[in-house]
Amino acid sequence: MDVENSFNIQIGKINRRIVIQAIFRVLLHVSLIFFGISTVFLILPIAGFTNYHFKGGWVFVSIGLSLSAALFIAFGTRSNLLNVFIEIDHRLGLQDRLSTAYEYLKSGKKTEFADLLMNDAAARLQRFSLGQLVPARFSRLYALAIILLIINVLLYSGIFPAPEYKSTGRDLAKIENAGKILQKYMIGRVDDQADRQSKPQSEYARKLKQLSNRLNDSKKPARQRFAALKSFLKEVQGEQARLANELGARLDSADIKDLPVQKIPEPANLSSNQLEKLKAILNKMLNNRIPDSISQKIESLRELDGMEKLLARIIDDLNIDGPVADDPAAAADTKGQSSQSTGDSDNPSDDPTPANSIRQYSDPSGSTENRTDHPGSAKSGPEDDNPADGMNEPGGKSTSAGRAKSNTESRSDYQIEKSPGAATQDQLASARAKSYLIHIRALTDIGEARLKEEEIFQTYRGEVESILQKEEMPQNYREYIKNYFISVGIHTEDKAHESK
Amino acid sequence: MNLNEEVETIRENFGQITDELSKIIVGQKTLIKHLFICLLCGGHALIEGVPGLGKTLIVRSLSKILDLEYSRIQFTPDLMPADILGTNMVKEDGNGNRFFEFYKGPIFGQLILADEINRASPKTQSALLEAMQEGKVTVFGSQYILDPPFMVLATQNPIEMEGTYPLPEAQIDRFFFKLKINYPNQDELYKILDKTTEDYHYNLSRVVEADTISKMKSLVKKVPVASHIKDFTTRLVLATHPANDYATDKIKEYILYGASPRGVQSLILAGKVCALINGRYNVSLDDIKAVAKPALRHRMALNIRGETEGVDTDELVDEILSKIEGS
Repeated sequence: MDVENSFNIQIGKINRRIVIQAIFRVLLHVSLIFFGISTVFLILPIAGFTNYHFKGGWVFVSIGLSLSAALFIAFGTRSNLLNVFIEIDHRLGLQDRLSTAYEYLKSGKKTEFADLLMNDAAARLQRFSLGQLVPARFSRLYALAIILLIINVLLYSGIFPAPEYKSTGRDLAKIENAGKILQKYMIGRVDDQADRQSKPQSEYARKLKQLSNRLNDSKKPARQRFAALKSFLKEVQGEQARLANELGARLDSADIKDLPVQKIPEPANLSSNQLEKLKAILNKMLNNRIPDSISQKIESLRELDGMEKLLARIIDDLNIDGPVADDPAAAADTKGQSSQSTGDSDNPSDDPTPANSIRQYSDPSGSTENRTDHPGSAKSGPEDDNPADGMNEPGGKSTSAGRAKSNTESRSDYQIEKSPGAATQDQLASARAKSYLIHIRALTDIGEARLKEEEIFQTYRGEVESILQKEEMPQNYREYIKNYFISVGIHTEDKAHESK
Repeated sequence: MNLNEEVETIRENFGQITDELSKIIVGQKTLIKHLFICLLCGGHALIEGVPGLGKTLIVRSLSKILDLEYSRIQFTPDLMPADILGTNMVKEDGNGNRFFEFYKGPIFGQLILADEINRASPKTQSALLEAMQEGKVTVFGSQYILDPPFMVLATQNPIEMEGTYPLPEAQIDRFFFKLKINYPNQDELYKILDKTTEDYHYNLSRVVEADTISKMKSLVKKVPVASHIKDFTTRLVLATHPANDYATDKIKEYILYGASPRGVQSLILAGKVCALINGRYNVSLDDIKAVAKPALRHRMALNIRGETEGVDTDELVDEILSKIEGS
């Protein structure tokens, strides 16, 4: 019995060490699986595959999964204690003493040699240390776990930048340049405000100033600065959509169902000075007619629109592989396209907004038809001058939020965030408001008009004549303009007679 | 005497036998060990070697050391079974009454030297079957028990094939071991010269009695064997079968049929004696490996291709051992 106890004590020591090693192995597997998962989840957003961030509950879920998998592996790969003893026998040259003694001890087989066997095995075991019997083996998995741990620490600490920040030197310069642009913009605005001295600095102007300061703050990492830029762009877009909604509602409440369609006379026949003066007159008349509440909204909208465009351009500049649709050159190209797509209501894919809410503002032909259906509003046309001309839009760009090409293969973050799903509501609201601006500025492109040409020219001629009758037109231009429309009208009427 | 002392006795006896034999036998330590294993396992050995290597001398010397009744049968082509087993002779008593009296043949001994066993006809060779397997002889319907320990040590010459009869498979399988005597090396030849060509006198003493051998035999069977050792042994034997999954490519190519269950018995029993000789109380894999060749080499029958190509079964056993051990 003493022999059996002695052997059992030796076996117990080995067993405890095996259990401890098994626990370590489980922890190793847990850390391997968890760090593997977290590495993937941390790398994916950096690589730009997803915006998901590995935090919160998912960390605990991952730990749970890792623990379950590690336990599963541990139970699946656990070896019988007898096999462990066989391995010890072979490794230490014990000539199967230990395994045979253990087997006879556990199975309870009767043999006269049992005591001798266990005594011999216990004596042999005492010659070896526990470390020799069950050595701690350094597996490559440990090295892998350490590597994964280091990668995770680096990823969590933000040392690995996102791809757009990889060339940090150049892009830091870009961010700082963006800050300078914003500063210049602010200075310009301050000067403008100083000229006006009428309106207090808006909240967004103040935020824009803060953003400018943050972008110029070189102590902060580029990632944070870029995130601030994007965040502010989102905020501006959201406010823009809200204002557009509100503006639409106010226009509706003011019973302005429709805005007259105007077509600017052929600019080739007018000198630039003549056009500028004509524009100023029309702006003045329009401003006089727009209620203050609406004009304030338009002013805010215009301000936000300018900010959005500026921010979008900055972000596009910062994006190395980002889309070029918002580049100045590309924007000039897309300007016409966006006007066309806005005006082309026959293509539903180009117009994701409900037809009832948008068509009456965005479809030039529809609105013109409406105008013909409502002569009253048509007559008010000459007085509804283009308000957008007073917004100082460079080159008459469309300010639609979705002005980039709809089928652009690669989009910057702010574009992607705006296009799908929930952003549809924003697009509805902003598109409604922007459609006013577009209508007022330029409804149709060449060849896109749905009305008969003579009807348009008759309307224009009537409007111009009404302006001329108010004697707000310089005398020397009056005859010139009148003759132009008369000649065009006569020419068109002759064509109509010939076609008949 | 407790168990530990009995084990120690076995070791001492083995040492004494080896020492005594070394007086006249030079080298051949492995052969002597295997002969001792055969003795303790109650088996018989077939000793194969070219002439002049001391086969007969070893057996004869062993009989003197073991204090066993020694008997020698010189197998010749005209040897008949009755010449081995014995026969009934008609005898007449003083009153003129005639009766049969059984004259025991040379098989009635304890240590039998069947010299050049392959020179007798198979019929005669088969006369040994019952004696070797069951330790008794049946003559004219009468059974005669052989005195234990009964051990047959047969010799055969692998070179001279003319006028010889290969042992039947049933006969071969009954040999516990097939032992090979190898040529002595240079040092051993020097010693042989010293002991045989000079005035060398030796006196072999009897170190082990028959009763002691019987006690040792009973102890051998008590030696514990672990299940993984048994598993290894069974796989080893199964691997000698060409149709078995454990068989190697060479086994499938050159072997007609493999070892019988006697092969497993031989391996385990021999392993037990090995363990005791080495002072252990359990059989290890090394013990099994040490006796694998003598236990299996004669139980693997070569096919025609193996015979013509002169395949050595020892190489096949080595191949099986390496494969089974690695798996």
